[in-house]
Amino acid sequence: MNVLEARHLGMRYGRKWALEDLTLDVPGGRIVALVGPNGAGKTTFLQLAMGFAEPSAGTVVAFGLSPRRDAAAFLPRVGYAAQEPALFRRFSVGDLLKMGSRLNHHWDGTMAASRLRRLGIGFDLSVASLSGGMRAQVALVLALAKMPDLLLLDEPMASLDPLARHEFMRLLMAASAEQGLTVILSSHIIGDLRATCDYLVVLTRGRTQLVGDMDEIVGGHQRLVGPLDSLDAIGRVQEIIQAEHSDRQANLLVRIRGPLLDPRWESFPVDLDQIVLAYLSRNAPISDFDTDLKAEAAS
Amino acid sequence: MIWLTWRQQRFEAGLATVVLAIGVTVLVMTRQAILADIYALGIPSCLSGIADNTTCSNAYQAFKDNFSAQQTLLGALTYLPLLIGVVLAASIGVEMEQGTYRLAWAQSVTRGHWTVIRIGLPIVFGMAITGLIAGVTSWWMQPANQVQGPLRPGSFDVQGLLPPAYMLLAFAITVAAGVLWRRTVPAVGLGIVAGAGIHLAIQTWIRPNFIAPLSRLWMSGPAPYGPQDWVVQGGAGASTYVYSDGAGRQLSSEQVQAICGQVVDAQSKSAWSSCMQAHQIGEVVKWQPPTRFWEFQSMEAALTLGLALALLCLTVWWLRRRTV
Repeated sequence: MNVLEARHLGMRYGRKWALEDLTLDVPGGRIVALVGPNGAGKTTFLQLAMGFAEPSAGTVVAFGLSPRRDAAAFLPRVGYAAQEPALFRRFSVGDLLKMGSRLNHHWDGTMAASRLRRLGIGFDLSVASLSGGMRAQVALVLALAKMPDLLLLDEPMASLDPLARHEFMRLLMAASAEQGLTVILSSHIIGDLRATCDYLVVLTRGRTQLVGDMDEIVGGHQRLVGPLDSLDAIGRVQEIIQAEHSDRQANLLVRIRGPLLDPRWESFPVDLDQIVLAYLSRNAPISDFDTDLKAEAAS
Repeated sequence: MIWLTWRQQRFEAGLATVVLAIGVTVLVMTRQAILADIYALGIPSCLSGIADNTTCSNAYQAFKDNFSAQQTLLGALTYLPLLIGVVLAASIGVEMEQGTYRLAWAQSVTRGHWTVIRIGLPIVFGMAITGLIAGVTSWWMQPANQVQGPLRPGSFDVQGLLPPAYMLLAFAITVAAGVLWRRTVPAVGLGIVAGAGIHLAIQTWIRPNFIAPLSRLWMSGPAPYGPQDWVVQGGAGASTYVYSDGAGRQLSSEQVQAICGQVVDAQSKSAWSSCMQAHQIGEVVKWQPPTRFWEFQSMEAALTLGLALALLCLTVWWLRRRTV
């Protein structure tokens, strides 16, 4: 059962398309990692899915509801937190909770209060005094307290240090296990996603390069190293995503489509970030946007 | 949503209320002094036509001079509504700049509901505050209105419908700029400059001609307009004059000088006067009578409210269609 469906979705600002012709199905109950370089349209996609703007082209539907036309029915079922969460700076944490309880029919204030207490964030703290990590946590707690069926998180960890990122992920996983919700989480940091997310969408320039179950994707790709002269034979069986050649040797990242019979070839498992990087460099010309992603994967 | 808006703007609301309280106190305290001045100068007997002309025109002039001590207060009262509008709208610019509107939009209130309350509530509050100010100011101006009429620039702007109307105009400019631009400081700057600019332009070029002014060729004798009239062309103390001869031809000051020379002393003045009379040349004076006060108020309010409404429509359309 798909929770969210996008069909030929596009958004244009002036003459520039921020997102173009995106078709995507998101199955229910998953924690979906939406991965792609900056400028791939991740933020725009999530904002259109929230109904913040009318798409320039195509449609997006969640639970069979249009985020724009059926806003009154749609909004109570969805939670949202953005990168560098913009919270009212003059508010206290308690004010934010009060806002949530006043602006939502379903609001689990007890859960929100206990989560914040566990995080050690006092209600009388002013938002301006919170660290970036605490703000991200508060934004996530606010989104969760709506008791949503679908949670959209736009680069929620972009401003967090590794420890805070770990805490955030733990909170997210605990909540998704308790509340049984679907999460779509955009990120350009791939490292943390393997443990948290069970579904992967790789997006470049509004096109999906790779969509599927996280374990199947990671298990279904291998690095193959073998003699260059038998490259064609390998290519007839396996789907070559990325190939590097030396004089006589080929180093391939492949999607496994059949058995590896040639004993001269060796196979190695690959990481998620290697797979993602291979798909990104296969399909998109290398631009400035990709460099930070590559630096991330290389480190 | 009402609570959220109040929580976001309670500082501005408090500020406006404090300003209102100070303003009302000052007005109540100074009104008595103005009334006392009117009685001391013997103006009531002038208004009922008992006293003679020379005494009265001296009394009127003295009152005008004394009243101009209130000029600072009048100036503040003229621009206060603009400032209130800008300050109330600035918070929405901040919200667009910091992106906190997305937090509100991600709750279970629809965009239409958010827009109506977030923009509507500050408008209602601003209209109430400036309406109160206008009410108190109109009451404060009553004595001065009786002496010098309600139409003079400065007096006219602080009474009746105009304070709320200009509050809304400044609010609409600032909120439109804030929503389209997403920068608070330039939006506030534009609100102040454009608000005051439009006000000045209307006051200078449009208001004198809302209705064709009464006009007279003034050759000699007492002024054809009264102390309560608003003279919009020529008259005593004007910086430029328009002349016309018996045939109805308009003459510039230079042409008149070529015919009758210049006034330098008392002697040349009487020669100049008889020359003017001989050539049937007079000065064209135009004025607006005080009875047109409410017509003028309605016209200017309609003009500014129309402008403000157009800007608010643009803002709402932009919020609904173009903002992510």
